[in-house]
Amino acid sequence: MPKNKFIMVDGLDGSGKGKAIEALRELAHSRKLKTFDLKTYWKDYDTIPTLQDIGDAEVIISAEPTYALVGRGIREEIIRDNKREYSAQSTAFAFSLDREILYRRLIIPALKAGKIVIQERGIITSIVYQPVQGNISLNEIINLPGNRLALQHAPGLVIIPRLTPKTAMQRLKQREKKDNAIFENLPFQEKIKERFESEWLQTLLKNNGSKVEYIDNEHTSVDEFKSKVAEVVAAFLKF
Amino acid sequence: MDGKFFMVEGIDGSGKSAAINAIKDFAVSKSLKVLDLRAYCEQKNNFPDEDEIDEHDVIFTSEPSYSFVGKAIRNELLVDETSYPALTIAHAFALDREILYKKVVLPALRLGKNVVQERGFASTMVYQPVQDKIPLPEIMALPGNKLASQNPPDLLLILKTNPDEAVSRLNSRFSQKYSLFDNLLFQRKIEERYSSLWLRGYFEKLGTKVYSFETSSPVTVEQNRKNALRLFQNMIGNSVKSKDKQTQL
Repeated sequence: MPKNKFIMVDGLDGSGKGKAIEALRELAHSRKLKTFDLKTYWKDYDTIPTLQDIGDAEVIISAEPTYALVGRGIREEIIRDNKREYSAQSTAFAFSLDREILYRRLIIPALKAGKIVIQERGIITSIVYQPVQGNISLNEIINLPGNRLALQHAPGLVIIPRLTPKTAMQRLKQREKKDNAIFENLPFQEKIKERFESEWLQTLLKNNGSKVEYIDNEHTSVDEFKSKVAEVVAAFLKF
Repeated sequence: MDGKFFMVEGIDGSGKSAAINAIKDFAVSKSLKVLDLRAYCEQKNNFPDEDEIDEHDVIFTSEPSYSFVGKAIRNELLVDETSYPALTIAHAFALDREILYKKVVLPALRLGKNVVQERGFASTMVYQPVQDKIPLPEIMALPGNKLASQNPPDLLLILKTNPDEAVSRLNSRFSQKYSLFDNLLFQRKIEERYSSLWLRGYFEKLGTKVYSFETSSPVTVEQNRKNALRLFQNMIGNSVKSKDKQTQL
């Protein structure tokens, strides 16, 4: 029995997280499951919905940072390439706080109610990126209140697309939308890839009840990648 | 020349809004351009850019703010239905402060604007060690709090009031429902900390001029307004830089 129906997709920028989420949305639709997309909700509301707001949807599609309250502060101010600098510590606090509100208001109640939650990025992103980004230790990060909470409610399944940072960067360049995030350069991404695939990360996740699946997205077509993701998740959910 | 930074503190119901409104009314009566950050945030759901700040003469801010983290503090972290850990709340206040200072307060002061703020890191020093049992040094070491202590107000006005009177005043105010803090014993303890020598000493060491005025009866709202305005006028001297002209006060 998996510990919950919580699937987290994480990985490098340009690694195919969006495509993986798309595959899972299609999987839900093919099973006639009703989805609730937080990104769509956040276009109209600057808040985190509660379980009540989700209504009878069986699948919640979530993302971090959120686009509401603290998450908007992260996206529009803290990680923006503006002339104001925020330390690694402040940035880590912000992500943890955004996470804590998201989990307390929605994710934890939803998992308890047996909902399927699919989330792009989250606690793993903080663990992988933040100690590299600046002067903060892994230990300090995992002990922040929001991060502790997220590890207690770690996803049953973690999906990490596997590819070279070079390919990921090339795919990023082809995109219309520019995030203007401060992380997007090749040496940094090399370091990040190594961390995503490290033994210690796998052990940490395993100890918190997560199963980790790396899915090749280097030597594969988009459709092959998507159907592999759907297959792994269908097996996890016992569809 | 840098603008002046005026901060107003005191327990809930001590008359902070009245004091600040007196300064606001005065600025408006002198045709100064007033930026009310709360109204701005509620309308735009964001903080103003430097260009927008520069179009104004006096900036009115408050903590928690009304965007991003400040909005989360007001709408989620401090509402009755939730119980977030103390550390989370301390981080949130410090983070809100850091964004507010970096995005609004410090640029405004650099642009020569006068900033009038309701509550700030004095509130953190007074409330959080009581409410959350986090040691003060730990709180003050948080990045947003360090930043605030490096950029202290020129003038700190502490409004002192009888906690019993303040609490009964608050009971007739329906919009205060969100506050965790409105109970008498708590307010008495807080009032004591606001009156303490260590708080005054802390700010005086940073170069802040500290004033504390009584606002309980028989002091009237009108007198509170006059006192606050007089301090503000003394602080900014006999003229203030307006975008268009030198306005004689």
